[in-house]
Amino acid sequence: MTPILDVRNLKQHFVINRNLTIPAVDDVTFSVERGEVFGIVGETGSGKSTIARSVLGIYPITSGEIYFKGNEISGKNVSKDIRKDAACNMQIIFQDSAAALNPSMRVEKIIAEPMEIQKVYQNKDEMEARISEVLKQVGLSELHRKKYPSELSGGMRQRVAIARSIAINPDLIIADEPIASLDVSIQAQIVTLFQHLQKEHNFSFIFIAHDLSMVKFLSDRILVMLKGKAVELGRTEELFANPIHPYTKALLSSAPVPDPDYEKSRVRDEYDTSKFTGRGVFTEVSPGHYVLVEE
Amino acid sequence: MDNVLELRNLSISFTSPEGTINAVRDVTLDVHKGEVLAVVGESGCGKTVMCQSVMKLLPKNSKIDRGEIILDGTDITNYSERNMRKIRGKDVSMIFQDPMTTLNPTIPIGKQITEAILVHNKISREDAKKRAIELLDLIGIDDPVHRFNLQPHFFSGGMRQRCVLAIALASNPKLLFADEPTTALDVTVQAKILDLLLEVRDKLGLSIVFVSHDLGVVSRIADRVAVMYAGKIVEIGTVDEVFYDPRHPYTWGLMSSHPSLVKRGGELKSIPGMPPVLINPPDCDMFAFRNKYAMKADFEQMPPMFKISDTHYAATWLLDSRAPKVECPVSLRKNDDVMEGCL
Ligand SMILES: Nc1ncnc2c1ncn2[C@@H]1O[C@H](COP(=O)(O)OP(=O)(O)O)[C@@H](O)[C@H]1O
Ligand SMILES: Nc1ncnc2c1ncn2[C@@H]1O[C@H](COP(=O)(O)OP(=O)(O)O)[C@@H](O)[C@H]1O
Ligand SMILES: [Mg+2]
Ligand SMILES: [Mg+2]
Repeated sequence: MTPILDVRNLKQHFVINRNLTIPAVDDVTFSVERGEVFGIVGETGSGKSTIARSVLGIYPITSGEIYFKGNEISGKNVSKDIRKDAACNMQIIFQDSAAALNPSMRVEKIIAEPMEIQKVYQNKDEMEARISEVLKQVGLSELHRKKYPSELSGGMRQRVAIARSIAINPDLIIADEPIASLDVSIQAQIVTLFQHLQKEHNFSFIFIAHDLSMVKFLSDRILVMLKGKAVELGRTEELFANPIHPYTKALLSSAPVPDPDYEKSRVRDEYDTSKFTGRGVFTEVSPGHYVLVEE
Repeated sequence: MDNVLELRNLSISFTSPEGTINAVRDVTLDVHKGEVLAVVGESGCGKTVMCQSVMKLLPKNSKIDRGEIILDGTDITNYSERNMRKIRGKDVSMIFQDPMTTLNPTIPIGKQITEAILVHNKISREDAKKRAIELLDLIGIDDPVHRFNLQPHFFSGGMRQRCVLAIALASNPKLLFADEPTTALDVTVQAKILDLLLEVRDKLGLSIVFVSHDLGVVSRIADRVAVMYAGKIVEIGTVDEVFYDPRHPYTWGLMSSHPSLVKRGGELKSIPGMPPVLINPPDCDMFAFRNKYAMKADFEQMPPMFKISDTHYAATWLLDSRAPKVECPVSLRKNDDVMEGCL
């Protein structure tokens, strides 16, 4: 089956001035299968959000190809239909989506807006029914319909943002640190919702986070980024059992675990990222497990 | 004198348009010399306000209603701002989640640390500068002589947090409040800052009150753990007691929502609902409303702190002799092989 998303040799280089270009994403290749949760981890500035924004077409890419459901969406000659399909069927949730909700709109309007823009429903009743349905899916009730964002807690606002992005039934949701600012218990509620959407409705997810325990819990596969480069990619179990790149090792061994005995006796792998050249070949070392083998 | 800080029946409230908010409610707590005491709980539970009260950095619309704050044997509850200035930074310091709340973006790092030293130490500027470089070295800034003259924007988030720590340690405080100091940092940087805090604690012998909502971080750094809910401490004990033998249903809830304690593909058990707004809180166990183990007594009366061991206490009616036996639902056992779901 064609993957839902196929990213090939993506480069996103920001030209700041004549002497400075930031290779925010440099030659990154991965694909996301239908119904899969694909995790992306890496330090701040490693290019995670830039991948997300490039996929969404927020800015033109420097080079490479991006295919959505088998159709190229990155080039100059993308047909209107394909562009519209991508705009409808790929949705993003940011860390501060909750803060970005229009304060003068009621919850129902916020959720309806993308459906109106995409003209998904001709019929008002159908749209009303859909709003009720998604409110329920994200664990909100009819009581919240008429509220303004300021009348809701942070966790509830994030649910509204999620409701808005799932309302038009996208095929792919890109969640860029969607729970970073929330409490553990609310994080758990939202992650449970993602699991449900994935299992029951076969949504595909790209889940970007710096909390490794959550990425591990949710993702089928994980891509590790460092300084714009993909350094390792593999199935979650494989990556955690058998990390190969020294940065991956350092990252996994730094993630704290709620077990005092384990934590206090734990040895961390150190890796000096200033030594990272990024030059090398992304090599398949075992089926589905890729590592940047540095020169 | 083994305690660097004693809070006795401390209550703090805010005035707000909606009414009086009882943010900290009757908190009694000791901080031992040289220990790391972690304070955990969801946001809005009163962790920051409790720290601010000792620093006397409470917002203007709040006040201490009752109780005592005893810092290193001295009752500072009613200290004036003038008196506080003598001890703030010297006896007790604080670092925050965002280092830029402390740092001035336009002044070189070294100068900011030197100034912090000169506030409490009658030494020459030259000596203060020497000490600032020593501090930068202590907190792991490479090439401190060169970096001394750089402004904060030349530093990464982790380095800035190190500089803030240097400022906080400038006058050898006995007690450091660290309010979510690593929450915004990358995990590899976070790990280094946690190790640094422990190293500094060992070298300088100070006590640290470490506020966090990350149970992983707390496992790493804490000697003791206080769990806070709705302005109250609901469980306190050594890190082993709280993690391997938790007794309060709220502690169970926090642990069950952590992905490391659940198998992949399994279900996180989140605590339903949210912490309450503390306007006219009823005189009962405030967690009862979210607690599936709640009994009639929980809605009627505030549970006292039940003693489990000399060091372990929890405020839940489940510990009353008349209560039914309820098994802790979280399966974290001491000396288990590293848990199934664990990293
Ligand atoms: N629009 C932009 N213009 C210039 N540089 C950018 C832009 N967006 C991101 N960058 C840079 O690209 C790099 C990667 O950033 P980002 O993708 O946001 O990382 P992450 O999400 O992993 O923290 C950083 O060095 C960042 O400063
Ligand atoms: N400036 C303020 N004005 C009014 N209420 C406040 C203010 N700061 C804190 N509070 C109240 O105090 C409670 C505890 O806040 P805080 O100590 O910041 O929580 P935590 O640090 O545990 O997240 C909050 O739930 C809020 O109701
Ligand atoms: Mg980002
Ligand atoms: Mg706080």
